[in-house]
Amino acid sequence: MLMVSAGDPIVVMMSHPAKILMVDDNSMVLFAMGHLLRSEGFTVLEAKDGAECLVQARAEQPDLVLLDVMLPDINGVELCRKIKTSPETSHLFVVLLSSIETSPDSQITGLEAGADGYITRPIENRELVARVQAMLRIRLAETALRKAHDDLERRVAGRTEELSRANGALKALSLRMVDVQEAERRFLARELHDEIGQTVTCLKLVLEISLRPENPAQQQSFDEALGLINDLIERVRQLSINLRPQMLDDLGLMTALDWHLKRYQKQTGIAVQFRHTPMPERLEPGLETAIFRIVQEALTNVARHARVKEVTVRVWANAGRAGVQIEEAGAGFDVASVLARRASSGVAGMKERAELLGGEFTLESTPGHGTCLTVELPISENESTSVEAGGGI
Amino acid sequence: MITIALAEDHHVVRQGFKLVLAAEQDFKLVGEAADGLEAVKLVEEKKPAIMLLDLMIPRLHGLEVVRQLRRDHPQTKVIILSMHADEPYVMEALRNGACGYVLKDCTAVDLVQAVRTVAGGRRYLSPALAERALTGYVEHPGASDLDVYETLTNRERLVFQLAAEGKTSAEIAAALFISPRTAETHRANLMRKLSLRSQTDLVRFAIRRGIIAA
Repeated sequence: MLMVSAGDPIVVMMSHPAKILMVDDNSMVLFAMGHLLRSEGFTVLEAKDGAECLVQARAEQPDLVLLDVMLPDINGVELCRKIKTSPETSHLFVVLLSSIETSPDSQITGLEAGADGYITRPIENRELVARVQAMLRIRLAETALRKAHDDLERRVAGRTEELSRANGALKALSLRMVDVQEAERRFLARELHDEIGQTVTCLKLVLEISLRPENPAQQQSFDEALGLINDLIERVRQLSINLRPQMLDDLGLMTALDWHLKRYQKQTGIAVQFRHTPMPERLEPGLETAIFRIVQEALTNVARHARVKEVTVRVWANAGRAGVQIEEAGAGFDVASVLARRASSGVAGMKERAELLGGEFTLESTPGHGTCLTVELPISENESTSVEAGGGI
Repeated sequence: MITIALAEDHHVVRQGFKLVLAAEQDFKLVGEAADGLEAVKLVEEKKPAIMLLDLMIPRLHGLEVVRQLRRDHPQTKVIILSMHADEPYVMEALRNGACGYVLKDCTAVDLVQAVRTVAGGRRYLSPALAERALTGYVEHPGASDLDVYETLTNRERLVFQLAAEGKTSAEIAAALFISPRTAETHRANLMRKLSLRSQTDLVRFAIRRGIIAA
């Protein structure tokens, strides 16, 4: 808020009497003008040449510099440019004074050198004081404005920092959530497979060796019981695989992908072309999971929406990055609208997953011309701090 | 007499298998282990003819146990017991030196058959696997022949084409209605993907691939 009105005496508005630096090589001018300004309550400093002016301007930071255009060591316009271009003094208010260079051209030159005002002599004392006061009011307003601006900048910077901290926390949380979800799935998958699955399997074995019926009448219900157990074993196995294939931990990404693609091909009838570059034996667990999940999700979408007979999956690792690409020539869709439907599409989830790991996600699709999804993820040298311990062998 | 060691962490399953083995007159169970490390030690001490080994045994993974036993105790033949009927597991186990692979949801007959076959110096797979093996194991796991140029996105391919023709990023940006910065990013990405260092590399690559005329 600016609270400066034209009538206010400026000396009252400032926290200290306004400080004015007069620069003139004529000591009579300095004396007379100094006397006048002091009598108006200003603090007055004096300099006789350019060098002295620069020293004082830097040290004293005056509110106003009254600068004579004709100085012994330097032209006043040049000096003004120096003041205005030096970071320590660029904010100072400079008014040029001249009794010789009074033409419009000279004034323009002076103002273009950065001067805030131009006063031509001769000038009456009353006018000089009024002009100085007008300048100081502008100067005060400008100071207030700059302060407001700085405050605003500081607050924006503060908020920006808060926001980026909050974003960082959110990102860490999302990452953690993905990790926890994966760890939970791994646990459940193992529990189902190893504990429940094995117990039921064993039940079947025990049934077979110790309770085999003697007479044919019992045989039928015995076979039915065995059939039910087999169903149960298969159910548990599928449930476990759908949660998280253990193969991903035991045998690594490439084996698990190959297996998954064959299974997908069998279940959906969609032919999968699987192409890859030579790959490292194992990638870090988080990365293997992410790539596997992205392929899984993308292929599910293909089966659901693309209406194609064939899809290509490409996997590569080079230059510190692992990439995966799923491409088909199917129905296609409008990318922006799919990404906007956050909740309903696994696409947004894939994008988030890729970005959480510091990777790039590119989805290209044109209705009628198929879809190509590309994700590239950095391969970090050191093991990530994620929850995923991985059951590597 | 066939001497057998059984390594299986799951108590119930172990009891089940023991029941099956006990029914055979010429089988002799010489020891049991509940984890991979114990399993290795057990073989060192008892030197059984057959080791029935759970693939998912804790502390030392089944595959690692097989690897060590084949290296240090080749006289003991390993039969893997597994819940996994998936080919990759079977292949890994065989590759690491297992002589047999038996599914845990097999029949009692199957397990006994496995022990006799392997003790007789032959390999054994559960019937369900043996049928699949004919189709499964000849297939190569994915073709390791991906050309990285294929992995460029459509956008990157357009940028590549224009860059190969000698266009600057600004010109590419104008041609594709994207910002110069985006054009620059695409260019940097595709150079990295294709392991190209310089504009000369890029042009040479483009000529070799027939993307631009020499």
